[in-house]
Amino acid sequence: MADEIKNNEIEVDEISEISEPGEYPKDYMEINFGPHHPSTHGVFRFIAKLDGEKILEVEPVVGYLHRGIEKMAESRTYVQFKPLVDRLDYTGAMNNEFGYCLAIEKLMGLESPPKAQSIRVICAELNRICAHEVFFGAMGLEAGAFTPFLFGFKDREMAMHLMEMLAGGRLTFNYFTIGGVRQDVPAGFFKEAKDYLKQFKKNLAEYHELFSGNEIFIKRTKDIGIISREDAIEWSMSGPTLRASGVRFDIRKVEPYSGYDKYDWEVPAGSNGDIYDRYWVRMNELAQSARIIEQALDSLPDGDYQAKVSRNIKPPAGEVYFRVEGTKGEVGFYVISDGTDKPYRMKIRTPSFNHLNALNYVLKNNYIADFPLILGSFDTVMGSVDR
Amino acid sequence: MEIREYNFKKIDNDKVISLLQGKLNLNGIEGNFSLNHDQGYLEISKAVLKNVIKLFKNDKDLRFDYIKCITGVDYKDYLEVIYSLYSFGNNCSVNIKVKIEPVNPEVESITDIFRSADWFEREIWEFFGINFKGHPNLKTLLLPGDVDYHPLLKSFEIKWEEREYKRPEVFD
Repeated sequence: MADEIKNNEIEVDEISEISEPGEYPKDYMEINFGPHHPSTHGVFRFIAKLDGEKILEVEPVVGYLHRGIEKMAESRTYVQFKPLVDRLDYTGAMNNEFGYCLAIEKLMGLESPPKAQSIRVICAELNRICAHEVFFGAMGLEAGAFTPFLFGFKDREMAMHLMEMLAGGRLTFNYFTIGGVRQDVPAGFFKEAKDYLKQFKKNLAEYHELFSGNEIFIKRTKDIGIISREDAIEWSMSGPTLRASGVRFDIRKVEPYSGYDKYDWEVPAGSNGDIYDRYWVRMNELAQSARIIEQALDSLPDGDYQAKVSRNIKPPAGEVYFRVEGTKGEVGFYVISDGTDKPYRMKIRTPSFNHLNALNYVLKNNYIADFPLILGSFDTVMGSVDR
Repeated sequence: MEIREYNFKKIDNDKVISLLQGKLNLNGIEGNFSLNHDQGYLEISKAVLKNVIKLFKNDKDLRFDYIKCITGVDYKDYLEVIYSLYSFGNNCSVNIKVKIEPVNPEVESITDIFRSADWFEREIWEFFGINFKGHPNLKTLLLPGDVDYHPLLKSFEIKWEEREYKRPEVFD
């Protein structure tokens, strides 16, 4: 009997033998995942090479949501193209419009009136709260907790109601115009916004109590998916991902636009660069966004909400690269104008594109079970990767 | 790892340009500077592109360590690639422009200097047909794998087709 067992034993050495350092073991697996998203934000496929549960290499395959928005820009006028900008990063649509309108305004040498600037800041920060609450919910789902998803989406609904009062839409707004915003703040908005912020602060404390200190969550996220400061810069990362890696850099502070320098707020930054830091930075940004909205509401100036701009916009010939701090990072528009009413070339730089570029580097030598958490911590939206 | 606080002071464009001009003169590289909407542009020939980017990244006074964006443009009689770099240490940016001939367009890849250039260059390769010499993984990114056209060239036109509604066959 003992002999039989000995014969059936697998010779361990032969299987786990690694031929050369740097090469893959002989029995590595190549697995196709998707096209779907391991969490919730779009259509994504990746091909993973695994050694057991360890990831050797990941090849992201993108393009399933490619709509040719950059080509479409060349056959539409500046005003006609604006609604399409919302469709890039559909959880942070206001911030995309912000970047687009400011880029065109810079090209035209135009400045929107102070009231419009404040309304824009309120919208952008409300949208940031929405986007980070989606992140909070999705992060909970990826770590295996369902309650944060419900909490985050319930609160997001209230923020979206506020933006619905302003713009009439819930996800894609088309609210900013070149030179201002489409309509004035409706009556009753201030009271609702103030009530919301009061409630939001209570909710935020509740989130931290519920999830941020959860032992299982901390164990699954601390010291996993670490990105060093040098690598974060080298891979062109931006936004909360860059800040979590120890770079206190925010475009709203460094290249202030639309009067962000008037408000008193701070830039949170992490020191470890792991998943938990990326989560922590975003949760702290929620509080800062609420701070900005409160100040903007209190100091909303009187006056016009739109500059006087002709209906068909013809910026003078020239080119400009303008970037704003979107909800996921740097959203940039490289616009080349030839003096007609249609852009000659419109390049859109989105943060998620660069984060996915670095995916293989971040995931190497991690376990496949941590994959959804690491990808979720970048908060990628495929609409903005594929364009 | 400690949090790095950068001193984000605003720098004059003229100062940046004179600094860059001095560095280029030192290394014997020719380049034309211009200003457009408060942004500095530098035009160089494609032969010296790699040297310039390496110089801008590694020089102690310049330290352009971050790629904001790489853009391709089709000007019909020539193509252009624009590299937008940013320096965290000095809080200044520069856009480097390289002209490329339209027939068999080719330029050297900078993926060995900046790893983040990988997908930017792949995107430009598939949308403009510009070949990046030395790129390790030049294959389609956003388009399907079997396309034989480059959509962002001006010669590629969007065709609008009238589509008629056809009634589905009804089973008897």
